[in-house]
Amino acid sequence: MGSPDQLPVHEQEAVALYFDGDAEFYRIFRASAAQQFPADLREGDAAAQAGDVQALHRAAHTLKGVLLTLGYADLSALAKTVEQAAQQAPWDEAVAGWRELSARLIAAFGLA
Amino acid sequence: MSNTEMSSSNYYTTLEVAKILGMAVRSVQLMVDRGDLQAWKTPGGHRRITRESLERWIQGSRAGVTGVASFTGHTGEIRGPGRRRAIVHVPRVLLIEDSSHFQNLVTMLVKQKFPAVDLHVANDGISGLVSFGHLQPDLIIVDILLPGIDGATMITGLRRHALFGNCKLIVLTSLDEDQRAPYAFALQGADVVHKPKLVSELPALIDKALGHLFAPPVSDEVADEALAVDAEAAEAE
Repeated sequence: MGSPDQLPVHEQEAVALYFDGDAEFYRIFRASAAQQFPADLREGDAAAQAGDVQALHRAAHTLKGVLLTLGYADLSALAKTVEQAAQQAPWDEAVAGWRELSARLIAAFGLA
Repeated sequence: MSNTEMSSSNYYTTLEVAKILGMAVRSVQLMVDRGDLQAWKTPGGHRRITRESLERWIQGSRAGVTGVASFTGHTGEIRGPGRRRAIVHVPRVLLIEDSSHFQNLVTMLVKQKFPAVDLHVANDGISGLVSFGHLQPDLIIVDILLPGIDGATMITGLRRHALFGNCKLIVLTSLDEDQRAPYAFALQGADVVHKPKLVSELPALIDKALGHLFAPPVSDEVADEALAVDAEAAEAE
């Protein structure tokens, strides 16, 4: 079982809360998630551009779950806002939320 | 449409396709409406589904289902001289999940905790239903929100399916408690895992669902004895 010491605090909390303290397992999952995020962002961007409510809802929903699992509760909450806005709020509001989520995800995981 | 195209060997009724795929008639109708299967209608309004589109769909469905053969670390067989004898049932699990993230996480977890399990993955509800008919799994793990047929509708359909029988069910969801009310009908009586807690909660639920299928280790002496009994029975035939 890997040591969580070198992880940021919010990731250490996720290791303790959601990964039974197994930091190595967390690291492997985090790496696989970081590889998948660019594809998630492309899907969400395409949905935003096409005005596809269901696709944007799905993209935000997917990110909401995985970000919370990884310990990024603030980004997960933002994804939940986009998920709900995609179906309930004016479209421009949902798209603006998606753009913000996308920018913060890129920054947090160094996806540039 | 020519007589050749109208030949009954070239098309199926909705009911026939439902039986072939092990799905509800309504699911097949939805597949036709979505354009997944090509069909025409009789003057009486009945759908006739082309054999070609059904075969294409089955091929595509198989391609979309990932058999994780390398995870079947244990073959469930005793090797004897010139023959093999299956002694335990290899637990078969079907994961129906559209998120690559959680496909990865469940796969990692099953590989680590249950190396003997034969895990298959379907990406959406329709593929999941088709795979269910093909695989007849011991356990299905289903995301409640899926593209196409959503997980809740699929679960309701599966529970009425003759093959569902002894199959166990675990539901995965990213929905918070306050978002689950519309799906309560499908969640009733099922084990539900909130996705962030998947690592800590899913293994115990898999163990509960499949524990009776995990055979205790068999010693070489017991295996040899079983083979000897088998050989005697074969000679007596």
